[in-house]
Amino acid sequence: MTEEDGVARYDYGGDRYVFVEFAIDMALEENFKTLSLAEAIEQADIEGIVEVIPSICSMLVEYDRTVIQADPLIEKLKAIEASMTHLTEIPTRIIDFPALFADPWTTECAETFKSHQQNGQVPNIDFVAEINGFSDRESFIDALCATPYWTVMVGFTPGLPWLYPMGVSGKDVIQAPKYNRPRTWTPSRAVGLGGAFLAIYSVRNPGGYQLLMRTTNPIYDPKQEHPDFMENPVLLKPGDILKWRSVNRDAYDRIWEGIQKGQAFKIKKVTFEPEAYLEEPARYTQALMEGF
Amino acid sequence: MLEIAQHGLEAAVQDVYGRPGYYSYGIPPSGAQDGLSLGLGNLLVGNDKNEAGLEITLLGPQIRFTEDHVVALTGADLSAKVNDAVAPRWEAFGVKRGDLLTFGRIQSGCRVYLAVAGGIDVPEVLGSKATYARGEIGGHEGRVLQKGDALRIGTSGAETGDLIGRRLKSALVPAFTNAWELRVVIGLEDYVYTKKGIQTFLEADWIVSSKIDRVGYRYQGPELECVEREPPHGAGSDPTNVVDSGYPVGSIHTTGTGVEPILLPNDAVSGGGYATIGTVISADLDRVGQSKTGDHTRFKGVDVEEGYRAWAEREKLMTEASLA
Repeated sequence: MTEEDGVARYDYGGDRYVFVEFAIDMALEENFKTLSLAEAIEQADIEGIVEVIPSICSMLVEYDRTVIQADPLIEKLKAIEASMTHLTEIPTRIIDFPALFADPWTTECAETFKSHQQNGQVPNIDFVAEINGFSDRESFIDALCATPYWTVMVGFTPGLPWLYPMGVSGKDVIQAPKYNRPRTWTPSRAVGLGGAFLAIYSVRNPGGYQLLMRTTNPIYDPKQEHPDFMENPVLLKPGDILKWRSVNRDAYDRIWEGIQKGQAFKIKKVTFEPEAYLEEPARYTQALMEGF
Repeated sequence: MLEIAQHGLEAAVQDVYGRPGYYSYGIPPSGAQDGLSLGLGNLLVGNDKNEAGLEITLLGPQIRFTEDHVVALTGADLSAKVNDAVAPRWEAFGVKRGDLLTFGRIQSGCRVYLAVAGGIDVPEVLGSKATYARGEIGGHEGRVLQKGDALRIGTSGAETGDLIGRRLKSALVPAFTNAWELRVVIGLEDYVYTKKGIQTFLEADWIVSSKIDRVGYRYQGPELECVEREPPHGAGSDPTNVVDSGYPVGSIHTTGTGVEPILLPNDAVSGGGYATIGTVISADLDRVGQSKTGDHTRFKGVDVEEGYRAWAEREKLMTEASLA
């Protein structure tokens, strides 16, 4: 159970997965380690691995037990881990996420589940702004749009990202408690905050995060009709960087209409250097986002 | 062709092995919850082992055959009839154009599988015909079947006469019960429980609750004692909260101070913030799929090697050597 410093813990996930855990608390550095190791495992192309499934500070490695079994696989994974003397570069993307804050759909939802929320404040954004020390809604929106969000994990339901702010130190991370009792539904493309994580609801689903806004960008397209979903029905991968952009209702409707007609998202490919980020998070983030 | 003349509780197209490889995107494997029974059904009607059939849960639909087919019913006993005659189980038999397949009282198990020679002809999505209804992909239009749906049947390479009457050796027919034993590899985040908590988990007589579906099976029983600890940053405030991590298919979690363990079968959510106490070995997920509300369940701690042995035995059952 105990962890040696900087060394991952390995365990058996039944007879089908190996579990690799770097840390039990949230820190972006641990997520970078997780993604670096996940990438290195993919590159090593070990026979019998079905899928590498990274999460925030740990991962599951699914294997085909008729080809390789857990103990020899763990030996191989440990060797890869040991050979990683530094955090490798992560090829990733910056993606524009237009959003209508305090939109009518999440507001209606928050109204419906008023009794499940801490003090019944609708829209939830004003509650979140207040407990984070913002004087008004506008300054909260400005702060959120000035902060890029890093995709630490994808899952729960198809394509749902867990997002953590970049370039912000602990006390400045915007946080909120989850609802006292979860809602039975949440509109798709709603964006919520629970703890320090933002999440985008991919499909109409139960949920307990405070509702802030609705984005125009679908993150799951089961029919794979939109051009950005041709290869995969899921848009986001761990490591993707989301840039929020506050738009008014007219712009929201116009962008949404365009997306339905197949208009591509604004995406820029970048190479992320975890070590450079960790040295100077704020400055590195600013430079990375320059011109986007 | 099969026509759904009346829909039941939940019937959907499933294959045996589902859709591996997309779990990191939050898309679970899906596939039959009792894959062994569907695989044996495919064996009886001469299909490829992983061919798609219908998974029918508790309350069966009415199915009209619009052509002659060779079919097999495996898994649960839901008192199936073709027209007015009792339908055979675990044996390939012929149906004629216009025949109506109906179901009645549950005699044993929870899910019955209908395998049809030639298989259910639906498109593969991400490499599988399995339905994942929550994510609206696979199977028939990404959903469970409704009244009026018509399903095409693929072409079978086998001669009808060679198939009819194919049966399993009677000793190999899976036995269903109301008291199940599930073998579990304890691990991942079992450290949130005390030794006594783990012991309680392994010794209790759990009752399958009314909250059971393809995403989660909940069990009722005693509370599990948790270690007193300060939850780590980002985890949440409950002692069973962890920083969100991956959930193995078959993993078991408790929600809220160790109450009501939830087991995640084939349509599992891929990750979340509740500690994993352990994971049911893959071969025993077939048993989970046949357990139903009110049944008893015990969790038995085993090592991973037992999981491999059980899986190899399961796979070996789905071969010609099992035929009578």
